[in-house]
Amino acid sequence: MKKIISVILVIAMMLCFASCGGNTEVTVEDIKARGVLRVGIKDSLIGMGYLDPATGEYSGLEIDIARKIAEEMGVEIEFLVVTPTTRLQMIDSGDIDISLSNFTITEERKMSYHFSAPYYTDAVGVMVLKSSGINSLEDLNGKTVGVTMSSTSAQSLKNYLGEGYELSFDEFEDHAAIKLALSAGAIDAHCVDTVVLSTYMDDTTMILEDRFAAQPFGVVSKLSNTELNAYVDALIEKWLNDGTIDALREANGLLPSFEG
Amino acid sequence: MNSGVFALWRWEALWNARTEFIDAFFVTVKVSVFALILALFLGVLFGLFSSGTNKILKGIARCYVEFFQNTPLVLQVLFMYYGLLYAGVDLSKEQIGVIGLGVYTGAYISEVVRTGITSIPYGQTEAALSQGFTHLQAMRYIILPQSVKIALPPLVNQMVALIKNTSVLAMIAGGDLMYRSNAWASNGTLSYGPAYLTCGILFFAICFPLTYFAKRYEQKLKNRANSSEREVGAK
Repeated sequence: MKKIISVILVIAMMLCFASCGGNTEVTVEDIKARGVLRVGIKDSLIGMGYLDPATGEYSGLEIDIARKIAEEMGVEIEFLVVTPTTRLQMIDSGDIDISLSNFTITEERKMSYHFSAPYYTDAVGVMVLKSSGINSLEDLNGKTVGVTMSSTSAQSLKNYLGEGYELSFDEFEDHAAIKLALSAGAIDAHCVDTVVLSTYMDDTTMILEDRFAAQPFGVVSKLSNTELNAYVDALIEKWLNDGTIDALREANGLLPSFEG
Repeated sequence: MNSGVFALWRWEALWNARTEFIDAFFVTVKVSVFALILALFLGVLFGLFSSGTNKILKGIARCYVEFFQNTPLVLQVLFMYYGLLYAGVDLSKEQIGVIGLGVYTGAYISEVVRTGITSIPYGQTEAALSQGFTHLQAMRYIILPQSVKIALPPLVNQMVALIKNTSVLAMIAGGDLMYRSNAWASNGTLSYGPAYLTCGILFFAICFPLTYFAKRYEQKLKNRANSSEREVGAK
């Protein structure tokens, strides 16, 4: 009995730690006073968020937008590389103020995080080995498709194909792992936003023609930071309307936003 | 709506997805049980090899133990998943879990078994042999009953470590508890708080009873040994 009580106490303590921490609001003033805007980004997506291993320079649309936000605030910028799973905890804990990391906006996710208007809209595509004999989405019936955790691609593919298709999905930590599994033949297809697929293309693979499911990417931040969120939203809206973002998109070699 | 990491509505979402977690829980239990059986078999076998007198068997056992103890489990599992596919061997993820964890933990258990046996002074074996016991009989009636008491605590540690190590399967989309928690936590409403906490509680629910009963059993063995010693003393 004593043991059971102690177990319950430990759990209660864990819950308390988890819910007590990090509830203070971070405002634009706080960031200015700190002098640094902390931004969660990706470092492996050419054209979106990419760290050139040779030069150590970041580049891409998300990097450029983040830099502009910091510039607007008049503060330095600090980039922190995130994964689909770490960015959630990092936003909640306040380790990063905002994240521009290929984060697709969905209604469900809006329950947990704040999203700005989409600065870019990608579409989902499917990459297969040229030697696989898969030439269209119809050929995917009965196959195993690799997706990342925290990705909406699996649901999108299922919705797009509709009834009568049997697909199984394997979820991986990152796209490099999926590519490895695809090359080894552990899975039959790699399904994700086209921007990502382009980064992992090589001579042995091809992207199927059909693209589907618009993936709007927004700036993500903590719901409770209402003032900061409004500030970022206004900037993105402004840059969408005056063509700033479109010019950055073109400069980074990205296709026009998907409409469809 | 409260966006807290442990907000109540997140727990409701988790409750609605409970079958996913229950399925994953049983994948973890299944892999653990079969891997444990394999690990115990390999551990006892190689433990006997490396505490025996046959040099060749001893050499084989040392190679096995050193190789698997000194390379990361993650690497071994990734090798089985990716590497073996290139070699044309297609194992299911659960098979990879059972074999990977079984062989890895077997190496540790064989060390537990070896130290358990060698901690009994060799004089006892000699005494047994001089009384007409065969080597196997000496093991069975004299050495092993004493070794078990010494080896049990570290053995249980290894078992618990094995169960917790099933979480490496998450790296290869293994469908185990860790994988399912990760996947669920990073989908839909992104409610990772309840998902990871539940994952932890479920692991605890498997491991804690194991250590608890092992401790009780160990105590029982010790009490029995003490009382039989007293009996001997009384005579």
